[in-house]
Amino acid sequence: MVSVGLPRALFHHEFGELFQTFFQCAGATVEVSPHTTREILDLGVSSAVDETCLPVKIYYGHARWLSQRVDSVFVPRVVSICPREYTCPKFLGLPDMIRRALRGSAVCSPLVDVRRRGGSLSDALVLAARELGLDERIAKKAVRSACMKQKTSSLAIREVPKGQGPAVAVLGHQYLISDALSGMDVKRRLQALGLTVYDYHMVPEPALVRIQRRVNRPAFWTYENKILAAAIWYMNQRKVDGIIQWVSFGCGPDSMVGEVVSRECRQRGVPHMLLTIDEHTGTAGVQTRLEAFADMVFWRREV
Amino acid sequence: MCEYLGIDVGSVSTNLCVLSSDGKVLETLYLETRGRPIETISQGLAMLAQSGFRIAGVGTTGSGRFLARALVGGDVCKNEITAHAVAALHEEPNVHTIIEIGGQDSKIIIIRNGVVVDFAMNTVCAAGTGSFLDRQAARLGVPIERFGELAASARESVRIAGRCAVFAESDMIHKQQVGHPVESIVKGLCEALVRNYLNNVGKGKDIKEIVMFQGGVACNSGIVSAFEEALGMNVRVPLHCRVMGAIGAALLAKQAVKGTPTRFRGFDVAMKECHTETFICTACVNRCEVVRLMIDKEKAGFWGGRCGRWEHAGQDPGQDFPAVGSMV
Repeated sequence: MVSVGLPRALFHHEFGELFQTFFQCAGATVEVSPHTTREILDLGVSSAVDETCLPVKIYYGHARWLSQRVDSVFVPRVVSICPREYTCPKFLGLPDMIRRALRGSAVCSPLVDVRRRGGSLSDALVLAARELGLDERIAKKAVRSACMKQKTSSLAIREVPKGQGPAVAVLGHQYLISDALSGMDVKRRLQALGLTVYDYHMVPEPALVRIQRRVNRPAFWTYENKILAAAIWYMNQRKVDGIIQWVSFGCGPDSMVGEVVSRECRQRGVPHMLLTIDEHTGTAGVQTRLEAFADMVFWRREV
Repeated sequence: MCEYLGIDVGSVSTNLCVLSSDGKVLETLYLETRGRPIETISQGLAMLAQSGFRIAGVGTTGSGRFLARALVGGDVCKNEITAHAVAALHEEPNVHTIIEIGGQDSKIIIIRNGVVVDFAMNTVCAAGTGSFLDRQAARLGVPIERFGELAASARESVRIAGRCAVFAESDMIHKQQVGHPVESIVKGLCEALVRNYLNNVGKGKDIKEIVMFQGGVACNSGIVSAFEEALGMNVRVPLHCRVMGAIGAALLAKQAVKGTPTRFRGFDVAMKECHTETFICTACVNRCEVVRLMIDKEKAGFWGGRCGRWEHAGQDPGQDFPAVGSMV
């Protein structure tokens, strides 16, 4: 049986369930890399192009960790997952970067580009199955069960926490915040400080779409559009006492949207903090800033 | 009568202060940390022990606040931003902006109607903080205490690139080799530092008077006048500018205890044998470096783990405590 490796990084934080269920149902053995550890990061940093951002370096690490253990590492080329938008430019070149770093290990990289015909995520999965020598008919069925599974798991992350006290929204790329290393347990840290924590998954999808249409200059990038729209929604609904943006050092798209969100917050008088994370970032500096932000939010509530 | 103790353990200096119950500053100490926070805190406590204070509450702040809390038995442990804001408001209730530049970081705190409404800290680079100034002063052979006086004596200032510590240094060396007088370079450095602060830390912040300048660098009159010039505002330096963090911590301790007994271990902690040990926690794959504080061969506190299992229980809680990976 062919074995497929799924790096627990980047899109995996969003489509992990989908990928995993698909390959299992299609008849492959699936190995998902473990949560990011220092060891995985070091693997990534030592092989990655030094100009890339932390999440991509982490992806390298996961891919290398898997390359010794499976027949093929699944690294889709995700160009676009929403009409008229792109994902991050670094995703476009990811299979090429990984292929070079893995030197000889097999990489399966179907194209996901909804701007083209036959470029949907489902099409890409079927294509991947064909490339791996799996039965195409079974694969097509597997796509359906994978989509079902994905739907239920995305419902779970949409569940809105209940809380009476002050609330903050932590906005940023899912792959940065959910990662065991680059996310630094930010949500748990904030909850420990007594705050209710929201993220962009908890915004109803139609509301996001509606706000995105009204934004003056929509960005090219799917995730940045969501982050901006989520920030505006949370402020419009008066749901949050502050917004924390979690960005990776050297992220091009975020550097722009970070500034736009900060201006929107300033206009509405909502506290905003941008935290930039890199491989050397210590937790002490982050903890100090989170504590100070929480203190400020509580203090403002008291008055 | 009883007093409150505030301890601010920073990268460069460790500051202690004792406040009376009505908020008057009775004693301040400014000690160099020199990478040995435990020794420094003990030294400070030993110096205060003779005065016969009856401590009713202890607050700790600064990057070494967790260590300080465990060592002396702190009642409250607060981040530096809150501590500085509380101290500034105590000194001047109408303060609107706080500039704080310490040894390794710099911050801006915006206050309106007595409440912190916005703040920022420097991001990745430590250019323009106290330790960088110290280093440059040493390289130019100028005592840091004379920096301000020297800058004031300069007729012209030369432009130094202040964005990055490495660039600033090479730029200064270049200016020096071309033949610019030292005082002009020093003045230029002060201006560069202020420019960098306002562009980086102060970016987009609504700076209004009254402006207070705190932290060790506030003692440097060259930087103060560079700020006044750049902002076109009067910049106030409080009398105890170097120990404002400690004052804030003491004030927070006073708020926190409210008559409950303090956890202070007493000044004789300074006489005891205290040291820390590091070990790698093997409870999960994160392999955190946990610090254990030993006072007279007894375990007195833990910190440094990501999941909080050691901090929580004061020992290894075993399987009961969920590991980090499982909670993501």
